Order: sequence, then C-alpha cells, then structure tokens
Amino acid sequence: MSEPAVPVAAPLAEAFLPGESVLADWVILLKPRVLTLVVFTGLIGMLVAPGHLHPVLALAAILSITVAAGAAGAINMWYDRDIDAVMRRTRSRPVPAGRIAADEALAFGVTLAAASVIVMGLATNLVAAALLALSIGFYVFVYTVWLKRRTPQNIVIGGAAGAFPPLIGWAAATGSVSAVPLVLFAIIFFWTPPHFWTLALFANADYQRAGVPMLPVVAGGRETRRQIMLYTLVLVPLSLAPWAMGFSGPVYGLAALALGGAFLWHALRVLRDRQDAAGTSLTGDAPAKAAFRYSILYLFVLFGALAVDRLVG
Amino acid sequence: MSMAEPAPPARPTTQPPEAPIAATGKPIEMLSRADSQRLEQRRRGRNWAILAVLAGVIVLFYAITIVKMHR
Repeated sequence: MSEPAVPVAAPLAEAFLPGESVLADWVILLKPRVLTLVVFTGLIGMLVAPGHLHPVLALAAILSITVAAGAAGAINMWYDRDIDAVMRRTRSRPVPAGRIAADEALAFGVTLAAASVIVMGLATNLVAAALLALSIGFYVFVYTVWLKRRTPQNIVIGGAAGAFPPLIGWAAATGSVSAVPLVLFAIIFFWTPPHFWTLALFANADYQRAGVPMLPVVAGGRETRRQIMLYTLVLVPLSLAPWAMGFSGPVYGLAALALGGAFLWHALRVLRDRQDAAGTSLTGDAPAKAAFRYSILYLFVLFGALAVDRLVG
Repeated sequence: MSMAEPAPPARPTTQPPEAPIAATGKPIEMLSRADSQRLEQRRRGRNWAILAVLAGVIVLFYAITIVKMHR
C-alpha cells in the first residue's frame, strides 16, 4: 500500500515519534464504539438459542466475537488510512495521525483475526468458527476493499458483515444455523442502511471530501431520505417475524411494534425535513441526527426485549 | 514594527553540530534525551500490556481445556 495520498495528516504525524502510541491508541484501532453493538447482538444470539453452552466457553465465544470485530476494524483502519486522513470524523485515528505505523496496524488486525477464529473453534465448534472467519473476510474484502469506495450500495451489501454476530452466537450455542438466527441476521441487515444513511446525511461533506460514494454523495439528500424510509418500511414488519414465527412472546412483539413505530416516525421526520432544491437540509440535518441516535437505541432495546422475552417469558 | 512571529514548536528530534553521517550521505538525526526517555517509557508500558495479554491467553486456553475435559 502506498502512503496516505492526502497531506492533511502530515502536521499531526510530525507531532509523534514512531512507536509513541499508547494503549488507548490500540484500543481505538479496535473501534470500541462499534464493538458494543456487535458484542451485544452476538450475546443475545447465544442467549436465545436453544442449546446450552458452559459459561467459560460462552465467555470465550463472546471474547472471540469481540476480538474478531475489533480485528476487522483494525484492518479497515489500515486500509482506509488515506481517506481517514481527509475526513474530520476520522483524521485523529491512530494510523492517519501517525501514532501507530500502518504495517503495525495491519499485523495487529491479522493476528487478532486469526486468534479469534482459533479460539472460537476450540471453545465452541467449527460452524461458529467458520461463520466468524466469514464475517471478518466479508467486512475486510467485500465491504472495505471492494464496495466501500466503488458503490453507494457499499453499506447495503457490506452491512451483512455487521449482521453476523447473532448468527455466530446462535451457532456457538447450537452448532448449527436455523431460520430464527437468519431472521435476526435479516433484521440487522435491513437496519444497517437507515442507520448509516442518516449518518451519511449529516456527514455528507466529509464523505464528499474523501470521495466515498455514500448515497447522499451520489444520489443526493432527497433520494437518501426516500431510501431510509423504504428500508425502515421493510425493517419494521421484519422485526415482528420472531413473534409471528412463535419464537418469542408478546413482550418482544409489543416492544418490536412500539420501537418500529418510533423508527417509522423518525424516518418520516427525515423524509419531510425542510430542504432546498438540491436536497440539502435547511435544519442542519436535525431529524437525521435524531434518527441516527434512535437507530442505535432501537437495536439495543429490540434485541434486549428478545432476550427478556425468551429468558423470562 | 510588526509583532514577532510565535516561536515554532520544538521539533521532536535534534541534530548535534557534528552529527554522524549515514551511508546515504545524509546526517543521522538523533533523539533528544527527553524524547528517548519518553519513548523508552512508552515501549516499557507496551511490553507490560503484551505480557498481560499473553497471560490472559494462557489462562483462557487453560480454562477451555479444563471445561472441555470435564464434558
């Protein structure tokens, strides 16, 4: 890989000596904010599965999912260091800021990825280990390398990588994959576009500067708002599927209904946001920001309700 | 009379008057004592962190083995 093409990060890089990273930099490399949702959905997949897993093995499985997601994030930061240096949101990350050398970040990510798959295989079963390896490969090769810089469908198809954790958690507990974890996979898959496109709406300038073809950059704000609504319209009925399939009870069903209703309300606010002819928000993208925050809460509470329903109901 | 420009920030490396010359013909930049100590401190911290991770991995593999043996 060539060095970052854009010199924006150069003044930052000069402020550090090689190897001057601190522990926090290596933690940042794992994208800890993304990890929480990944770990949570993986844990729920494991908890609601019919099988039983010894607590130590369950802990090892969750650790593997965590480390694998972090490893994929580190490899992503290595690959994206040139565009990270240009975007305000990401330019202080350890690699573009020069606190961690690019090669070190790559080695760190690859080592952790391999270790996580091995531990998952030893602690649980080959199905879970294979799914874990597939999720890492999907995030790195399909999303990061192939799609992210090429198509506005990057986070639609690439979103599958983030939908793997409940499938892996389920497989860790049962050694197989059935319809229910596939529905959980689908829920996260259809949740991802509204989640990322609301972010892309208010971070549009950043993505434009970096040349990342997010939907608002390529198709404009108006079309993005329409797509957010369409995906939300698919997501809400889909979120009721575990209830309709008889896998969960009314606790989950009612929670999914209420949460889905609120999500639709947010999507509608985004759709009807005051905008100019070019689709640029005249409200500072306030509805998109609110919808983005709500989407995170939505997934946490939805999966939490599923666990409560299964474990208490 | 114009205001004097603020002094530029101190560079992390210093070059002594008689710096050794590298094979490329360029003078080798030397770290200052403070920078050197700071780097050494950071590297020591990193080594301890790696030791902690390795110890954690040993404990994890041990625990997995024990649980698997009793199943």
